[in-house]
Formats: sequence, structure tokens, C-alpha cells
Amino acid sequence: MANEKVDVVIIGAGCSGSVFASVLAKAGKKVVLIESGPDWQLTDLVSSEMWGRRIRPAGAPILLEGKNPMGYAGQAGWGVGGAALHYFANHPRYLVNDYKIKSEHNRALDWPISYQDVAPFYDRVAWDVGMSGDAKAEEIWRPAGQAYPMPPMKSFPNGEVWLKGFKELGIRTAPAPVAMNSTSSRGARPAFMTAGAMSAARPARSPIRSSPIWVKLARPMPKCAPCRRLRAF
Amino acid sequence: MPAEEALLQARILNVRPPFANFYRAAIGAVDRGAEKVFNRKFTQLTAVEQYDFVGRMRQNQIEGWTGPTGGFIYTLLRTDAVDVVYGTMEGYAALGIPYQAHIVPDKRW
Repeated sequence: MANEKVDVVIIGAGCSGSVFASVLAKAGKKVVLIESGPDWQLTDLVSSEMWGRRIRPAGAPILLEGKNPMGYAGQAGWGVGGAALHYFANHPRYLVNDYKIKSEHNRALDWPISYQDVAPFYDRVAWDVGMSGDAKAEEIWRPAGQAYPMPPMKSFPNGEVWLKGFKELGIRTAPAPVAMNSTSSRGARPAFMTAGAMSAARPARSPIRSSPIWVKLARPMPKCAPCRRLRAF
Repeated sequence: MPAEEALLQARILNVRPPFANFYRAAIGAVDRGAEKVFNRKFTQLTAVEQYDFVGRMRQNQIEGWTGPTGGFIYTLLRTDAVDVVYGTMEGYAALGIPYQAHIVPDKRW
């Protein structure tokens, strides 16, 4: 293994690394994915507040520096899947002018790319990951793109209170685009039922397409078929 | 216990392992603080005094405090305590919240 030639080496099997590995492997590339933490399997992701803490970083703490240091071990992950094991599945897009903050507000920096450069990939991620949302409602403040593969999640009673307030103030809103199934039509992952407690290793149904699944997709193709069906975890 | 097997909030709040060192420092800080305010160790305080002390400690309002900050100690210990009681299947039931596990734990949590 140490001397085997590969096309790509990816450091970290988190949200990005595992998806990159899957895409490259499916394209026929030989990929090595290097991960310092455990190789979590889906069966390891027991729904437990306490055991769920195992997917947080372990070992040496993250060095915090700067004027306003902020601990983020609680937001980070450890092992295959990384933070995507317990993220809240919100997938907001940058706004068009987020890419031009320096030009428009004389703050921070402009991006060397524009929203239009990224837009096709936003849409692709929405379909590959499996997202629920209302693109038409978002297109008030962003250019048109593809529809989301699933309709938006239902609002909860507390959301209805906010909606009422925004409506009275004349502020337009859109359902948050989330990587949760609003319907059970996409594969085996059931429709998501609750708000909160949305970590894969905590109670309540997981909203995410777990990164260990992407890693499985990157493994040899004979294993890929059953994994593919599992994608809708 | 290796840090990667620990289920303590200390792990999530970026405490440097071994975590026992933090707890020892926290106990020392609490006792020093109690002695400053009441001239007694924390366990020698009455329940009312302890309640008052913890209320001030969590807001970092005890003069001359040394060691880990009171607010941080409070957050860390409280989160563990709450999760051990209410982060379990029985705890969810007690709160009337459906557990909705996708993989049911084989232990009480």
C-alpha cells in the first residue's frame, strides 16, 4: 500500500473529502483517503446523546489563538464523516453580492469567482446530497437555477410565529434549504420528522446523507451497489 | 481512559486531556473561591450558601478567583449532569419527548 501509485490522495474523510473520493472513484480514479479518526460504520451511529459524543474530536485539543479565540470542537467531527455526522443539514447559499463585499462595502475581500461560477455546483450538490427546499421562493434574492429534488420541509409552530411577524413587517421569507428528506420518495431514507437533535448519533431521525456512505461509495465498485441503495440513510 | 473513549463534555469544550487534571483544578478553584467568600470549603457550606455561591460563580462574579473560570466550570459540569439524567431514553420519556431513535441504544443511554 505504501508504495502503491494512486491518482489522488485526500487528507480527511469528512464532508468534503468523502464526497470528493466518491466522485473520483466513480470516475475511475484510484484514490487514497487518509483519516486519523475511527472508520465509523453506520451501525456505530447509535442514537444516543452520550455515545454521540464519541464523534467529537479527541486527542490533542485544537490550538486556539487570536484576539477572539473560539472553541469549535463542539462543531467539529472526528473520524470518517467528520462534522457531517452531526451537522444541522442547513445548506444556505451565498448571495450574489457576498462575492463582492470589498467592491460593494469596502470590507474584507472580493472573491475571485462569482455566484454564477458556483451556481451549477450548488444545484448539483442539492441533487447529489438530496435536499428539500423551495428554489422559486429563494429566487427573490438569487438568480434562477434548478428546483430542489424535494419540496420544502413543513414549518413548525414556532416557525409559524416568525412567519406571521415577517409577513406583517413585509419581509419576504423562503423555507430553508436543508439536506433532509421532506418526502420518502428518494430511496430508503424516511421523511424527517422533527426539528432539533439532528445529529446522526443522537436521537431522532438523521437528516443527513451520512459521510460514511460517501466513503463506501468510494470503495471498490462491487461494494458500491448495495451502498448506493443505502445512500438515502 | 484514552481521551478518544471519553464521553465527557470536556472533550467537546476543548479541554486538554487527561481530563482528570481539569476536574482537579476545578475542584481546587471552587474550594478556594468558597474560602474567599465564606471562609469554608464548598462542601462545608449550607445548601443556601452553595446555591448563592454557584449563582455567582457561573457569572464569574467572585473576586480573586483563580484557576479555570467559574462560568466554564459551571457549563461543563452542568451539561454532563443534565445529559446523564435527561439525555437518556428514560430522560426523554420523563420530559414527554419522543426518542425516535434510528438505532436504539442497547444501554440506558
